[in-house]
Amino acid sequence: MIIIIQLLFIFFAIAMIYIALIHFKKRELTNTDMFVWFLVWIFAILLVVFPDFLRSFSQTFMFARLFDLVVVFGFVFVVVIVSKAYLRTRQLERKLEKIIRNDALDKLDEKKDAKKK
Amino acid sequence: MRIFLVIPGYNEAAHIGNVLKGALKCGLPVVFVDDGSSDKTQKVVKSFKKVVYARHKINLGKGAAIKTGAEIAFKKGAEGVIFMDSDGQHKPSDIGKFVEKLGEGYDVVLGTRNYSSGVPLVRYLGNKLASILVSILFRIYVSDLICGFRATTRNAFNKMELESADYAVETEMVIKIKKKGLSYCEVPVETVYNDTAKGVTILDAVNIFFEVVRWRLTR
Repeated sequence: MIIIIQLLFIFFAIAMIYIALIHFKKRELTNTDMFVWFLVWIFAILLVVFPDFLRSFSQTFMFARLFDLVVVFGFVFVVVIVSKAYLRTRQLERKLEKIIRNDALDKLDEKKDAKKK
Repeated sequence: MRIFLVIPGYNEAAHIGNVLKGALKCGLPVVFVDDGSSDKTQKVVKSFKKVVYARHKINLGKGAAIKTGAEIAFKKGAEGVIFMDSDGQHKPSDIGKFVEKLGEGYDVVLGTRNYSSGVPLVRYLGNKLASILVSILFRIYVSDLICGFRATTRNAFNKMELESADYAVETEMVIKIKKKGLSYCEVPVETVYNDTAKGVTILDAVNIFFEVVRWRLTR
């Protein structure tokens, strides 16, 4: 059963690397982005294949089960990603607002100039 | 004091004609900001030659439209602006009250809707809860937090440095009044509900709630 779950996860991780590669080929990801995502998924595959590697960590951080450690770190990872996405979205919203508002003001000035001519 | 009327609008072809007719009767210069409408709003507004028309290419939200409108008015020499909704829920006959209060020296004048004249109960209760929440968090009580009929002087508007691009702008304005130590007063205004599907929805209310909490935490 465990091997099936491990295989499923490995398949999932390879699929995610492939998806990252598609975005990279479309130039939606930079070299650094692609490298980071590649490392993340390779690291995840290694952890799934060799779970004992994490056991020493779970003891150090006082986690009773290895699963708890994975869940906690997974949660932290998701929070970081979501926060980053939230901040980036807000930045983009502000930039978009600035562009659209400036465009509206510029068009008004153009109309005024055209009337003067 | 030179005062302009700023009207933000999005897909308001059905009402904007009557709103502008009424607004122009007051004798104030009118700026209309079309927030990316896809209906005939542009055509209707452009038929009013005296109205200054500006357009956002895409829909940004009421807050962004208000800021654009105010900026245009100030560029044209306004010392104060009155904001009014474009769905016809506000009566131009109330504009005089705002002019009078700005003349008395208030920085901001907030319209307060008359709840006996058809405001849905859910909106009334939601608005009251929001007012109480803001009064607890920011120590300023305004009886109608999200009424779009309000006025501000140029100096006060610049001091407020509004960030919101959406419906949270009215709440942000109230919070900034407190933070910047601006003087304000409330005036009662009449309300006519033409379209209950528009305006602040439950989702907008949830968004405003989170914004209020964020402003409290990031003060």
